[in-house]
Amino acid sequence: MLELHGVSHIYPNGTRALDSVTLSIPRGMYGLLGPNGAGKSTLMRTVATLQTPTEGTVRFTSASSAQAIDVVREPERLRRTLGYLPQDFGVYPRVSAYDMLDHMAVLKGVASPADRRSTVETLLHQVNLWSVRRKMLSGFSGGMRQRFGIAQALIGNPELIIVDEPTAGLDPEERNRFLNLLAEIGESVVVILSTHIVEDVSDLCHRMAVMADGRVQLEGSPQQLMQSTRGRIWMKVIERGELARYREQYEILSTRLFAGRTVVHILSDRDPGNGFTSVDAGLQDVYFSTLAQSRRAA
Amino acid sequence: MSAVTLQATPRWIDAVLEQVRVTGLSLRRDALVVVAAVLGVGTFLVVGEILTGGPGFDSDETIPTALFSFFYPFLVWRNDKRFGPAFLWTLPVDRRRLALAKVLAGFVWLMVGVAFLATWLLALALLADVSPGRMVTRIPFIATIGAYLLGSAVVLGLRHAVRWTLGTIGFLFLMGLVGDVVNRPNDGEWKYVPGAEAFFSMVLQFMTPWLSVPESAQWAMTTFLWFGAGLAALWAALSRHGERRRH
Repeated sequence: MLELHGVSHIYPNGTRALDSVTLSIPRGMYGLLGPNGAGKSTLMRTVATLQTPTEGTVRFTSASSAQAIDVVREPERLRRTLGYLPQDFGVYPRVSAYDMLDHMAVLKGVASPADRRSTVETLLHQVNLWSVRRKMLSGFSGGMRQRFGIAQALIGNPELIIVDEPTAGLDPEERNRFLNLLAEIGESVVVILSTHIVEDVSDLCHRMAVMADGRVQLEGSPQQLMQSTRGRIWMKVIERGELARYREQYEILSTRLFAGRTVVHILSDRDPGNGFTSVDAGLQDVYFSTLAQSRRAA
Repeated sequence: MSAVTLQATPRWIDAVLEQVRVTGLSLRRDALVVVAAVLGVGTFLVVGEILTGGPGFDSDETIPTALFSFFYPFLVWRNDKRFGPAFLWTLPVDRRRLALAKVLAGFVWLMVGVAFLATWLLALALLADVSPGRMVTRIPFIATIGAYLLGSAVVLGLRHAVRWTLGTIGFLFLMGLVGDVVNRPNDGEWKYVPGAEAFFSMVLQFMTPWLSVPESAQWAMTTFLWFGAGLAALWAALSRHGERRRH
């Protein structure tokens, strides 16, 4: 379990990127959802020991050890059990996938050549890159590169895996393949998936949090959060020219085009009338309503 | 996945050897380009000199390996982010040691390149019937190593190493242009930089006693200064990447 308590981070220029973030993240897939600038990447970098928070504590209790690791005081202890796939994972373009994984395995402490060979071969099969193991990484597609990134994150059986915006830029097929892979590994370890794509969280995560303005705005399981907005999401199909008028009258959460007309979802505690019908809240509605509330509060 | 035996942290020697291996792999193509240039173009030019009886080959001119070795760390580190959310620093290896391992790896391949260059010069010297020892001494080994250390320090220590380097080169070039534009003989471009003349006369005052000592002592002093400055700068640069903890 990963526990963050009162974690804040203020950059030298005064920007408060994290504001008293408190979370308890159990084993399994945990989604961290938020728009750009919400503080997700800052939080991921803090947990990944790339930066020290200005305030607060981060503790990780692994399944193999009852003693918690104080991540702020002993970051090197966490790194021994950490798998990290950052947003921009740089590779050596003229090195093959096999050689690069072998290289990462040494740096992660897999000393025995026999163990390394076994690890690298198993991982390449697991991420379906065995057939291209001798290919230069520069020749990999975006999806292949992300799968390679997951493979290196899995070296050494980490108990905490952080995946930062992994499906950005992937086509639907690659995204699907990647998410299936994540789902496989997310059962027995703590996996934190940081993303601004709602579907990634709804498809995979048992629990999630919504971040905005450096704070946790909402936290729980996707089902619980959708349940909490039951009866408050209303839908209507309008003409495109009417949208501006509706924006003035109602709190519009989302709009989308459908057959040349606009489908609007609004947030309202009471029946707004005027042709609106109640709909079951999707996670996207929960997400947008949370952002709208945080903007109102700001 | 099967369980593996993990070291608490990787042994530093393993990290060094692994960095040597992967640095070699990543520089392989660039090395082939350089070798092709040296073997092809260089040999062509030198053989031409020899055949036409020109003095170019059998001269005392220093080969600019120090200039190359100052910029070479930019190649070594081009695929690794050093600042900000650098993936390299999430690995369970002490950060300074990991960076030092990579600097060492680059040094190993630099020495391989210098050895190749020395061998090529020796071969040409034998072909041209000139003194092989004299050819090899055209390679400034100490300056090459010192420049590599300084270049590594620049790459590791400065967040915007390329900008600083290009800016410095641009500044020096501009000063040269200023000197040329004003066109005063023997003035030197530094005359137009405030304080530069005073600084250089102070340096000359300090250096004058040392320039009168025997050549071997001068060589030893030069070596000490090159290595000392390079290692000090490198250590300062590595310290930027040391672990920061809040207690």
